[in-house]
Formats: sequence, structure tokens, C-alpha cells
Amino acid sequence: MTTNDWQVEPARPPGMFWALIRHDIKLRRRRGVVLPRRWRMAYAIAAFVILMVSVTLEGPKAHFYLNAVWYFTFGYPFMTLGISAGRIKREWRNGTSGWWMSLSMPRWQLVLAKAISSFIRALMIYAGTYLAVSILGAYTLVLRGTFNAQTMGQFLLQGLEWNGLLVGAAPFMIAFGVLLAILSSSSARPLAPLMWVVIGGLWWGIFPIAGASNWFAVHGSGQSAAITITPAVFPAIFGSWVLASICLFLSIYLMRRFVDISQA
Amino acid sequence: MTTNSSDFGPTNPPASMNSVGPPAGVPDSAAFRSAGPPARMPDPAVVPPTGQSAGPGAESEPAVSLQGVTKRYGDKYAIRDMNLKLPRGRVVGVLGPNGSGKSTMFRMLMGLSRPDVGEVKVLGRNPGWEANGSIAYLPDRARWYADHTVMRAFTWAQSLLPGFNLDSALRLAKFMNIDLDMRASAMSRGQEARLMLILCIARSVPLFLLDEPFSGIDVMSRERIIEGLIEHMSESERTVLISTHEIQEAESLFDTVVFLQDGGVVLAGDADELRAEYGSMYATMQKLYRG
Repeated sequence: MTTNDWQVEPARPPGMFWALIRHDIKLRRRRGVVLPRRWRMAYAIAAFVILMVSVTLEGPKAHFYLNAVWYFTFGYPFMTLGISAGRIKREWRNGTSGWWMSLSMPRWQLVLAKAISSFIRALMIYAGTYLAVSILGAYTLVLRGTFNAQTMGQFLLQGLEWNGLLVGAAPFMIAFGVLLAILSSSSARPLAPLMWVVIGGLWWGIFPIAGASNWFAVHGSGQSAAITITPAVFPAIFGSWVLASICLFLSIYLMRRFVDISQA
Repeated sequence: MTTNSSDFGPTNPPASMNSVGPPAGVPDSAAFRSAGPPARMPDPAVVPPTGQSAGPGAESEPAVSLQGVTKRYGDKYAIRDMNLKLPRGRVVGVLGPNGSGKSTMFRMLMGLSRPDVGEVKVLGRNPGWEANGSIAYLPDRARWYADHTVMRAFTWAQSLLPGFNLDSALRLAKFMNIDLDMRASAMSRGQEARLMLILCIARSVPLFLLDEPFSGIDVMSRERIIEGLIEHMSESERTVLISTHEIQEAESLFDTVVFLQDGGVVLAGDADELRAEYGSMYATMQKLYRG
């Protein structure tokens, strides 16, 4: 650099935004609480063995409704909220917030990268869960002696519908998680408990709304019974995306005006 | 030369300056011993671009400028009516005890903290993400992403930090004895500090803000870091601001110093002249802060 280079701005690396998304996709735990890899492997193997033994012993018994297995992911929307909020809070907890916030990128890109990476991570988790449950479902049907293309197809379709609904709801939960994390890192953090009240109200308010609006329909009975989503759910999903956009706009506004790294 | 009011400040220095002792704005050793807490510099504290030339535009447009800047957190002042202009092309030591406002000042320059009152300019621009592309910033008390190896950190920097030079980083890693395959989670604090410093100084940018690069680092690592800084910074003409309260090893780096206390500038000037006057930066600091 010569003495006349003061005005020369270094070139920005190409594709910075996508590079940041790729960086943010990685799940980073809190420093010092990471389980060693071999322990994680041991727990995963133990969980798999317990699951397979349970399915092998209980699967042939016909008294449980296989399609209902999909609904164990009922809490996943809250997990997605945790994924996005954690991605932001961990920048502070792990001491990397200074690097993150001083990047030569506008605040909206920093926020959006967190939201997009959280969505991709959520999709990966949903897809992994779908694959695992599909395999376990097929195994159960084989054990029961009822495996055929129609039953399996219906089982897979049921899972696809349910997971599709969860994926549809994910943008709002992710955006809300982003908003909560940024709010709690800002000088406006006294409003954070209020936001928890809002999400709690939304969560419990959604059931009577779903019932009254006929979002779901039950077809058939017994082993062939299936709960399907009706078109009435789509306006609600679209509405949740509008809310997600509002949450992201608010997050960006907070980042610009109320997040002071010294206070967060 | 040390800054004084007759050169760069107002015609009539504030009364508080007069209480320190003559000449106004230049605390002498006797004044330090007798006057209690040091007085603040007259406004504005301007460090002239002495020594090597910093280019034709350097005097008209300082690297860093703070005018009437105040920042409070609750009832506590982090920065109090600070006026400071630093020329380009110098290595500036920003010195002062904990809580004197060093980190807040750096954060303001990066747009990470906003002043309540006053104007901050960095490289002639308002602080923010656009200016940050021209600044290599080492945050105070920072850590690195625990899952990154050194090489992964370098590729991260290559894709996200404008002006990052991989070849320089690799050379510095070798010089600072950092294993490229080592994960940050397995590093000592000294090794992690060296990695973060490399991420900063391997950039080709006009301004470097290194906030407490030696904090919590063992002596051996500190020496390595300083050697790395001297080796790399001497190659080119850059403006470097280094904040520290551990100046004994680092003072050889500085050609300009700014002493802060209670959020204000108490002394600023050419390092060689201060050394000639007080013996060393450390001695100057002792006289300033211990009275």
C-alpha cells in the first residue's frame, strides 16, 4: 500500500451473503458444553438400538395407529424458533458478536442470513426425520404383515402433508426466534417477556382457530384412517409468512437502532 | 511533539487545564505529581502528522475524528465530550486504564455503538458497514468460532473480509507458530489471540483497530504477537490504532500515543517526544494515572 492508497477501498469478496449463510448453517453449540464426538456417537447408537427394539416389540401389535406416528414432531415449530434464536444468541455467548456485527455487510443481510440458514437447517432436520420415520414405518408394516404399496403410500403421503404444514409454519417461527434474540440483545430487551406472551397466546389460540376454520379433515377409520390438510389452512400459512416478514423488518430495525454491542 | 492548546486547541483553554500546571495542555512531570487526577485535553486533541509524510490529503482528512462525542450507559459516562483527530499513516497507541473509554471509542469507529452526542468519522466517512470494509477490527475480549480450524478460519476470512490475503495469512501463521489444522476449541488463549490477530493484519486495508490484542495473553505469545505486528506493519504504511493498558512490551510499536481517562483524552502526542520527556510510555502512564 502506498501513501496514495487512502481512498482505495479493498474489493469485496464475491458472494459474501451466501458465504455468510453457509457459515451460519453450521450448528454451533455454546462454548464449553460440546459433547465429545465419541460420546455423541455412543448416545446416537444407544437411541437407535432402543428405538429398534421398541419398534420390533411393539410394532406387530395392531392397537396403535401408525399414521399418528408423524405427529410426534408436534413440537418441531418450537425447535425451529430455538434454532434461529440460538444462532444469534450464540454470537454473544461465544464471544463472536464483534466479528459478526463488524462484517462489511448491511444489517438486513446479517439478519436475513441467520433466518435463511435457520430455515435450511430446519429443512434438513425435517427431511432427516421424514426419512427416518418412513424407514421405521415400513419396518413396522413388514412386522405386522400389512406392508403393501397402498398402505405405505398412504403413510408416506400423510407424513408429507404433516411435514409440509410444519415447513409452511417454519418461516414465522424462525423469524420470531430472530426477533426474540435480537430484542433480548438490544436496549429494548424489557419488551422480550411481552413477546413470549404473544407467542404463547398465538400457540394456544391456534387450536380453536384451526377447529373453527376446518384446517384438517379425517378420512376413513381404523388402520386406514388419515388426517388430511384442507385448503382452508393455506390462507393461515400465507398470513404467517406476512407476520414473518414483519418480524424480520422489526429485527432489522432493532439491529440498526437499538443493538449496542457494549450493552448486549 | 506533544499536543498543546496553543498549537491545535482553542485560544483560551478551559479553567481545568490551567489547574494542571504550565504550559496549558501539556502536563509536566511535576504537575502529574501534584495535581491529582489528570486534566482533560483542550478541545480538540489533534495529533499532528509528524514524522513521515502521510500523503497530501492526510492532514485535511484524518484517519479518525471524534468531535464532541459523548456516550453514556445509564448514569455512567463511557465517553465524555471527546474531541480527537488522528492522522493517517501512523501506529497509534490508545492507552488508559480499564473503563477509560478505549473499547467504546473503537466500537463507535466500527458502528457497533452509537454516540449519544457528537460526530464520529472514520476514514472521512460515517461509521457503518460500508466503512467497515476498509477497517480490520480486532474486537475486545473476542473469541473465535470453536469449530473452525486455522485453515477454515482463513477461508472464512477470504470469503467475508475485504482485502484478506491468504498468502500473507499463511506466512504469518508460520511466523507465529500456528498449526493450520488446529481447531480453535483446542487452542490456548494465546494461540487463539494469534489466530485472530492474523485474521486482522493479513488484510490489505487502510485502517487497523486492534482492541486489547495482548489482553490475557502469556508473555511468550505476547512477544510473538508484537513481533508479528512489527514484521507485518513495517511492510506498508497503514494507520493502526492499538488499545492496551499493558504497554511495557508494546510501546516500541507506537509512534503516536493517546492517553484516555474517564472517557476523555488527557494527553496525546508523538511517542518519541513523550519518551524523550518522560523516559518511556510506561513512565508517562505512571505519572499520568498514579499522580
